[in-house]
Amino acid sequence: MTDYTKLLPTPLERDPAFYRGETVKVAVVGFGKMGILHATIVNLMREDAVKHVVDTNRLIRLGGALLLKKVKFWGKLKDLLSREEVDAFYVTTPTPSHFPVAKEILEAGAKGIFIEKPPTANAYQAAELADLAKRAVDMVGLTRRYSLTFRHAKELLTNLLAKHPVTEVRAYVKYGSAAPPAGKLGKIGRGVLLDLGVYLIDLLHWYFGDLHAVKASYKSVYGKADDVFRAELETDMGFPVFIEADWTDPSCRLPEAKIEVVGEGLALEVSDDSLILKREGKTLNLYKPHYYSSFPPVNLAYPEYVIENMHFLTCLKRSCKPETSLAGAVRVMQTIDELYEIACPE
Amino acid sequence: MKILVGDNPFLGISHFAREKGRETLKSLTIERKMEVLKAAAEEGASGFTFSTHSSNLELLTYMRDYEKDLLQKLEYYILVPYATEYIRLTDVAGTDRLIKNIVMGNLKKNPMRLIGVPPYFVINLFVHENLKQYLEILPRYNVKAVLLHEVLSEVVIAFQLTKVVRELRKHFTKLGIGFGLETRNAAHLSKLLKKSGETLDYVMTPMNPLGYQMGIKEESEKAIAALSGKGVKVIAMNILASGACTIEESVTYLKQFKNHIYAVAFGTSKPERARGNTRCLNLHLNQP
Repeated sequence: MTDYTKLLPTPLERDPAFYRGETVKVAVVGFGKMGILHATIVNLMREDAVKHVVDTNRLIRLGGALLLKKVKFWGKLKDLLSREEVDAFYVTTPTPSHFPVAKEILEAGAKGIFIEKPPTANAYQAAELADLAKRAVDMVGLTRRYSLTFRHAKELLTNLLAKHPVTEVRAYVKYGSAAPPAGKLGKIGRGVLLDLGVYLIDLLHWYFGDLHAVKASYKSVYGKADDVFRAELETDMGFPVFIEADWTDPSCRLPEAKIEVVGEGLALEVSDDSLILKREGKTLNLYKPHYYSSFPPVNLAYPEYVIENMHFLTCLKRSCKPETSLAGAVRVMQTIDELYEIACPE
Repeated sequence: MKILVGDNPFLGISHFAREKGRETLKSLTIERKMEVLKAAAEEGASGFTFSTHSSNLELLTYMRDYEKDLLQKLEYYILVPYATEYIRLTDVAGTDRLIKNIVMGNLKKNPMRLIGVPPYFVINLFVHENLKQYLEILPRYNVKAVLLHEVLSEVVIAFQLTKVVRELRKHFTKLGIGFGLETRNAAHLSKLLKKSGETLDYVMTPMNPLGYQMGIKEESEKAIAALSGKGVKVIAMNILASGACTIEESVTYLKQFKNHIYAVAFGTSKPERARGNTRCLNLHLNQP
């Protein structure tokens, strides 16, 4: 059976001994769903690594402090920054506050910072953070980059693109989360493209290089922001890329992303769950269980969440930049800004 | 070894491919679900393991009204809460508001019980509230276990919340129901129980030849043996690696752990497959 862990960002992540290694002091800022998810994964990999939680909600601090005896709860980030030494911060607050929170952490000279996606509301903020993070180990939670199906597709495309020029790419990300009142991004006036579309734009940049916005449209179902966003982009290689981001699809109980690449004598379909490659009369059909055999070492939610945390801890140990650092995310955010600028209501 | 029918296909959940799960759900009527359960029961399956999703409540209500014999015959292993529902609620309202709603909701229903009590009691009440309607329908003696869904179990394990485990176990023991955790991190759980001296009645965890969702397979296998050695009833789930293994491959693998496994659970939306899988599992895992 093929060992697909060879697709991991660095060989270190394949060594189980690494996860039982030295301790790391982690602080989680924002103890909502994503904060709890990352804190749990980190603690499963490194016992008692999560030392601090910052949350503005008193109920969460009170309940958390009563339950999690080994974790110190803080109401104000500045108090933590001035009093404690922390190796890595996880910024998992609601998106509108990513920028001020991350800025405060980076200005305090943090060694490591992980920012949940989308990193900021726009490219200007992302660029400012990237500038501040030059000396830090900074990572954006563009989780799908760490999914082995999407990583496998990257490897295949790198090898196949020269032989099979691409003619068209179609990609979507769908979910059924947004029901009224869908106000989590309300303050920034942006919706599904920023929140979920960022995954697609990141993957497409990674696969095909620069993308240029051609046309875009959106539909607001629940509020003023985009709940469905459709766009056409063009790559430097000249082929069109059609994307759709939609969080109004009730049939999708969890977010789903899929990319279809059509080329001369080539058809590649990659999603969170599978990879199907049709080439020269042959079909390669792989599903999630084929990729994640006896891996990753701990399990919570989808394996890609664990892998991104493994990668972050690896980079922290080696003091190197993660694959999805802020500098790379700036270009992704620029494409998102361009799409919002040209988008018309449907 | 007991054979249990799992509910994932009934909810449109496929850990193989989400599209497959959705397709399955389209053609799955309540009558079809009943056929699956009946076919498995006829071949010797003794129980149904399900999460507290509203469609399961509908199914069990139907059983109470129209299939009383089957309702009385089966044993029940309930996973609580139905996590996806809460994840979606956090997406819409935010985690802080969700927690507030849970606490305030319980406060309204149980005003005297929440004043000045530790958070463990709030958790007990939250779990109990999720189960209430199911416990009203099911024959109490047939409810063998309540298992904390992995979304909460992994938090319990990662933050070593042994007191939560102790309190929940105490709560369900009083009701005559076993308590356990459903986890994909059996090795971590085994380590935690050893360190804390706590125990559980049940652990439900993936076991399949591919090691899918098992963490490091060998470590998980050792942990399963250790847990069973301490009297924990191990329920093997995802035995077909979400459809990537055949039932024959699965039984060959599970045979090695025959002495450590209390029950195996599998899910299907097809009555003929329910019959075939149960027969195969019975033949290979329960013959002397």
